[in-house]
Amino acid sequence: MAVSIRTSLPLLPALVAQILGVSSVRAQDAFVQGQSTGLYIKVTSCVVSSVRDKSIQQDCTANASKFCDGVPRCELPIGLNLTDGRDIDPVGVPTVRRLGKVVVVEFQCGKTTERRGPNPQNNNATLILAC
Amino acid sequence: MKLRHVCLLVSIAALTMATAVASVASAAGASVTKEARRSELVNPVDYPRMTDKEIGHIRHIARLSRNPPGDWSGFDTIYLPLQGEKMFVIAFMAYTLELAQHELTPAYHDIYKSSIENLLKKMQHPDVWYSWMFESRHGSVETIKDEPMDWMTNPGWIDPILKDNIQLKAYIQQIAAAYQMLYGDTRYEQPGAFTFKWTGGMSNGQMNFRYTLTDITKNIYEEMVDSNFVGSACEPGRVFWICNAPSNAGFLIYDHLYGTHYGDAGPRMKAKWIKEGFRDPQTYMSVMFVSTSLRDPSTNVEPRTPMMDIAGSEEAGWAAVYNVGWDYDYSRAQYLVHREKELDEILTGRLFKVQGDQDASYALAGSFDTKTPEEIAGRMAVRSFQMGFFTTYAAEMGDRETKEKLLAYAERNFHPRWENGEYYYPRNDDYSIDERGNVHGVDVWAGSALLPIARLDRGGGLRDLYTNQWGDKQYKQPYISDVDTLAAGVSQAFYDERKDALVITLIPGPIKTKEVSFVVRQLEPGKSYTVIKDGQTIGQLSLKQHPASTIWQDDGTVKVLTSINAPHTFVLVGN
Repeated sequence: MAVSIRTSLPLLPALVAQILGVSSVRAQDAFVQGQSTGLYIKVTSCVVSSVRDKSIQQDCTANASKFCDGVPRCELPIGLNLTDGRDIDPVGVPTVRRLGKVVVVEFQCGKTTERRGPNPQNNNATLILAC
Repeated sequence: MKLRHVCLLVSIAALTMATAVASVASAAGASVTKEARRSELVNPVDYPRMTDKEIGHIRHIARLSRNPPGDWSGFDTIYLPLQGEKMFVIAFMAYTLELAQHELTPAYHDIYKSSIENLLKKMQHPDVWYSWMFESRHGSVETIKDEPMDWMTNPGWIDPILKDNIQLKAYIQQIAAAYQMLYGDTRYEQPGAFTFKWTGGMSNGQMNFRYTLTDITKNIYEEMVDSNFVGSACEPGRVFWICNAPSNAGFLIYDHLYGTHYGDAGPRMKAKWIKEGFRDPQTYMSVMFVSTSLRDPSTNVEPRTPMMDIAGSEEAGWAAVYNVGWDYDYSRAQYLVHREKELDEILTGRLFKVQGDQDASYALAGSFDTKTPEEIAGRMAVRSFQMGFFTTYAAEMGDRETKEKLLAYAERNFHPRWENGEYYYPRNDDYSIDERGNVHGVDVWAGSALLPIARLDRGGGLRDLYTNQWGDKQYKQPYISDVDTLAAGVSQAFYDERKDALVITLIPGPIKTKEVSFVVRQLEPGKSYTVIKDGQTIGQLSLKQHPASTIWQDDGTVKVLTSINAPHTFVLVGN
């Protein structure tokens, strides 16, 4: 199970390793048994940005939070819903624009932080976020 | 006067009554005669009839379509690129079913409908589309005209429909559009009808990509427009004529379903390719694919192969069997120009001779090291499906002589197998040429899809599938269902609207049984039908009466029972 874990906790490395090790074992146990970990999603960051011009960005944390905060698992649509129906960089022919914006979402499950993306902003795609 | 008038009236009345009685009697006689005459006018030999081998092909595909998810036995090939791109074999199995459904047994759906659904499910299996994640990044793409690739090789381009990959989505579009046309069943328009589940890995978590038939159709057409009709790309920046052919035919069917005008895509693409010199209407030669700008697919368009005949440019008919839907005359002229050479190459065994140390196929990836036996076999597997395509092309052109020569070659050399009522040419990777110049190797694509579709195509069958679309009228016609396909094969199932006659023939299947049944659906409740079995009238079927071997069921359908020690033909004629 590949899990990207980032932490900024000011803890000793050994302690971090121990904590992460424990939470990883619990998560795996829960996965095997099909049980809830008792953790809930908190979206901490969601950004849609243009691939062509990285300075063009829109924060989508609020839109993503509406879908996913407070539940152990959610399926987050990553289309124009994240930018209030707006193409934030409508440059180029439509089919090339399909790859023109990417979405990066970060969320917490308890003390661990996970990251999804960059994925193309895509009205037909959803991300599965799960604790 | 009054009395005379009364007498006269009585006489007139009596005369009228007598005439009326006589008329009724005469009408009754005429009615019987008319029924008998109508029944006699329905001759089962006038309707399409599938042979046991053809039914065997359908059984084989139906059984493979029911393999559990991830079980690809019967689909595998020695040609490694094809092993990772099963959509082609799956698609042509689906076309075989659609052709037989539309052309041969239109009044019997079960085995075809369920099997097409199964094959479309397989199109969504990770084994079929996961390779896109790699092709979308590198694959065969090189930097084009100083355009860096980094902007489009981000780790998230996994969605197999989003952009390019026409080699997958065109097939799904064409099969699903034809399915909806055949059955009036809109399941592929429901949200998430096509769901591609990315199960994680690569540190990017799980994702779902959901599409409908309309989503995919519009996605492709938009790519056609954006490229100024150069075409939708297979891999980023590479547009193959072949790969666009399925959706160019599928657009015709979609237009019928929705009243759109996407069917102009094929003609406009052809005009573009001719104008740019990629297709030559004088010699009927073509390049196999072109490259384009990544940022603007209508620019920097360059041919990536020389002009080639149909063996080189489209594996001897791969695109043509779709193009007949909108470009029949060109397809036929192309066939006639190349026929003799193609046929000769196959029948003499030259097609399967290794050419030098390196042997190249432009389709489905590059060159082969002919010192490596597996690579030689892989190269020859390509030639096997080339033989299959040419046979299908000949069949579609109605060239019975050529088709029969090629099928006879297959019968002699490809070790055809009967197995539980299934008939097919089993995969054989030994492509060595025997002392008579014959080859016995055959790839699954040819053995389980292309040769079967060629056998089933009586001429113009695919063109008819794309252009003679069904609608409400056909959906309301009588048809049969609930046949035990191992106990019996449905050789005929045709409703003749003009004669109001349903013609059914069952032949014995691989499992011997005394009796089989089928269910007749959508008969008109208030109508009487004359039931004829093997040329003999066995009775009238109506709500008031029915022959002994028929049973009215609570849902208004009629169950028909018959022995099946030999073929039996039923005709139900509306009175």
